[in-house]
Amino acid sequence: MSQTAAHNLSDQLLVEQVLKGNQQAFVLVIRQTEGLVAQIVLKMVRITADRPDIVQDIYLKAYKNLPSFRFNSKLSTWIGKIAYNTCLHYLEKRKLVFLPATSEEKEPEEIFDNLSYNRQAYNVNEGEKRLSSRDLGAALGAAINNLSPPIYQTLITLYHQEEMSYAEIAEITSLPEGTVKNYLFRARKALKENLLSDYQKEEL
Amino acid sequence: MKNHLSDNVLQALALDQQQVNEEMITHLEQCDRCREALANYQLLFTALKTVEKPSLEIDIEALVMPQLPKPAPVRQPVGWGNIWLAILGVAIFSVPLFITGRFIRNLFKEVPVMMLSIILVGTLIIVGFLLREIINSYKERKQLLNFYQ
Repeated sequence: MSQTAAHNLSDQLLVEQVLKGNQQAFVLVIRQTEGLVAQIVLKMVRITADRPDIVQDIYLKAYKNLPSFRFNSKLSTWIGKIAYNTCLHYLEKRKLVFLPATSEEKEPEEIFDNLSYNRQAYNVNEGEKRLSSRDLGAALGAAINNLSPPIYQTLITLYHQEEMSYAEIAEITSLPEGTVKNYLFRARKALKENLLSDYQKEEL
Repeated sequence: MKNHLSDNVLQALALDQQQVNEEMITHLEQCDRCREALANYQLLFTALKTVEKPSLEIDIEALVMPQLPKPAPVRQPVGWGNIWLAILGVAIFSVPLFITGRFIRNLFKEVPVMMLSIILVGTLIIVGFLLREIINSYKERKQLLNFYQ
């Protein structure tokens, strides 16, 4: 049995139980998805005091709309989508910018490129400095939180930490898969360059 | 070296999502900068997986569960077993009553109507109180079950 099929089966059992009125099954749904919801909420909602209400809202929406869940995706992806939309609605109400202004801009597909490097990140002799694994762990958390626009933080977290596929991230964010790939490309590049730039500043 | 591998390709190589061709291998062998950039991406992607996941520090279960609407009680369909049980129960009471009915009537023949009424009303009051206790206790247990469900 494939992993997705196994997921769908356990999702189906859980959803059936919740719909039959077994609220203990919804506790299991919360436990299975709270990590993903936490990652989305933490990256999208900066005001700590607002987070409990948002999390509560997310799970109440999930509970209320569970009868309409059609198993087209994993239950966790569906709840991730609710979390993302709830946070996005919260940001829109506060007129906070989350998505980049130009969403359809495409990166060049060429294999070779002599202009794509941020000069700040390199030595005078054009060699790239090597990141050190020693301090990377500590610096990385802060570097992710400094990525701008903020959607880059969410995408990096979903892809690299939650290990979701491009398709699943596209489902959660309602963005085309190509746009997700493009944003992730830019986010990784910015992350690497910011880290290299920080290293250089420390060494000066 | 004038041209370098694009970041797009370097990222894809570091993520094992790009097929490496001759041209790329040759370039990577000759270009320190692209080798370093590739190594940095590989290091970055490995490190990203090990970054400690932050916690919301919220007890989500305690926050959400009391807010869930109570599930509607599920009505069990009346099965044939229950119907036969009810018929048996009625038979157990009515058959002895039918057999001994004459004797019971004789038993109360000598008792004055007033006394009989007092006994009947008293019995009904006691039964009423007992029924109320049973119903209250049933409701309490049901609430407790709903709470743990």
